[in-house]
Amino acid sequence: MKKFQDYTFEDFVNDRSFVKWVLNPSPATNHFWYGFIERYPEKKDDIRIASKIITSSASENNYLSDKEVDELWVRIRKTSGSHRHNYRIIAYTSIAATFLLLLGFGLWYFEFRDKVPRFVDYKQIQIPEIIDNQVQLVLSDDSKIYLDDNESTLMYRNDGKLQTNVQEISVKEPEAYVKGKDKDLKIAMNQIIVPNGKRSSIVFSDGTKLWLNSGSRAIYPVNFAGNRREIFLEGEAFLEVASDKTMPFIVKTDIMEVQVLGTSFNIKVYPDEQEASVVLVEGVVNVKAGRGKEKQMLPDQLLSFSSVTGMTEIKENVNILEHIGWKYGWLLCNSESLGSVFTKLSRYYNVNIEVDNPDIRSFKINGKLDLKEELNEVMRAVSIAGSFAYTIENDKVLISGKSKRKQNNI
Amino acid sequence: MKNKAQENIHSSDIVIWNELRQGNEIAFRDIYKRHVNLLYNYGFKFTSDKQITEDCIQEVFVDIFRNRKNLSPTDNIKLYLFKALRRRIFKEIKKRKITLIQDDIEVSFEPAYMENEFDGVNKLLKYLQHLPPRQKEVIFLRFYEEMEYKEICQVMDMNYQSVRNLMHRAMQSLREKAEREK
Repeated sequence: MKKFQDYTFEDFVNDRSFVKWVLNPSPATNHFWYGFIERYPEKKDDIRIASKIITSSASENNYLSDKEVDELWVRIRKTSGSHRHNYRIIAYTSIAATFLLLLGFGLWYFEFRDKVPRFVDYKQIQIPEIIDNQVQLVLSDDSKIYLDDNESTLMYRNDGKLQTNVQEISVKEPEAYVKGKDKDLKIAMNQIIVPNGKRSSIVFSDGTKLWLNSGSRAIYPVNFAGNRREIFLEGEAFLEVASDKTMPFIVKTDIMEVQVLGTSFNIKVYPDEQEASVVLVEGVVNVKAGRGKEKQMLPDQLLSFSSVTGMTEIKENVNILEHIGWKYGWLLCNSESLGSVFTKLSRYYNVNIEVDNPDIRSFKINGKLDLKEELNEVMRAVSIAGSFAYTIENDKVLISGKSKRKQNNI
Repeated sequence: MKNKAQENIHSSDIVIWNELRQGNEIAFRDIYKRHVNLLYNYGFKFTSDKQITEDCIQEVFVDIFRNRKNLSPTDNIKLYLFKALRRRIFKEIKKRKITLIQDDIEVSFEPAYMENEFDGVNKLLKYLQHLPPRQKEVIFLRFYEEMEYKEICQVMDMNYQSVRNLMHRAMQSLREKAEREK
């Protein structure tokens, strides 16, 4: 390696660390280079010439404005065919359906208008016990359907039938309202419970798609009727809401409420976690968290709400894939603490993860974990990155060992 | 100078590119947002024309998405995109010029150099502007985009020695000028 004191001006120009100092000086690099010039004053000229060339090479920036970036993106989507068309088709069929409904049921609706319930008290709806760690679907008549698949899919078709990938169910639930025990009308609701170790996705009759992560549950009407589409959520979900300007879509949770017109976002409100969050992929949503005012979110923003402090924070330009990887069956870690990784793995695989040295939880790792692999494979990858040892016993993972380095890659 | 917030760890490049290859539209959008202005800044220096630069960027991205299944994996998305844009811009410029002139066209590279605020009007700048286009481009990619030589080779589709020679020639001429500035 050639030493700096033997450098020609051209060597300086080609030296990464020198260029970095010229373009981006820091107290440390200033200290080094000024000290070097003092010790080797004969290099002063070469350094001066090299710096001049480097700084002169800095050219003016030409940038597109945010608006121009967005407009160009719209053109790219349309031409590349990545523009989704299914929303448009859904909108046409739902308009047709609504029209027919009005014709047929007009009189009926107006007769019962005052008796139609508008608000649902979600807290009154019982949470059934988890049996054999299976996904449970509770229908409006309180009957239960069990799905044993790790990744189940449910589809509410326009003809009122419910289809699942696990088994063929032709449950007909075409009525938006059912008669309750006291003979008054209630909105017909279904409840789905997804325990740890399972994931589920639902397609609603309006085309909205809902992916539920482990340890979550959702309560939703069988048919969206009235002037809004409202569902209740606990845990973590990713939604692609079908566009419908006449019926805003509202996600209600214990501590926050998200209102959308047609958009894609990830929402996380686990009852055992202090922090709740929403990550917006596309579209616009309004979020009302805790007792705060309603906040509007734009794409690539992350809104986090702390139930402890009651404060809401919005972060710009987040890497969305880090937050929705679970939907595809992987976890993308970007300087993520092992503690956070363990929480996610424990839910995903339905195992307890115990750590003997709490310092291990603050160790940070980078990389991608494929959650479709067996737990053992995933733990092996994480343990290499995290420099720890582990054993798996029944449903428990025991972590041991000290971490030395501050950060590592999977 | 360069927007530091646009730097990303390369391991996520591998993941995101693979997602794109599988048709993940969110990955596609993410790649676009992170690179569009870097590409615009680079492309504009060839064309000095907003419309042509935007059109070329559009074609690069449309192509990528349409051919996503045939893309090979990469760990450096920025490099791939720079190379693709450069090729596309050259094609486009030659196509447009050919309708007017039939000669062999050399594509120019015209960065508008910033005035060095400490030296006032820097005569070195004037000389930079008179360098041949490929020398200017090497300087831009090296100092502005902070690319390694092997990356510059890929973007400009030249071998290592040729790129080093370009840089060497540029440095020599600039040095003469800089010395005269004393």
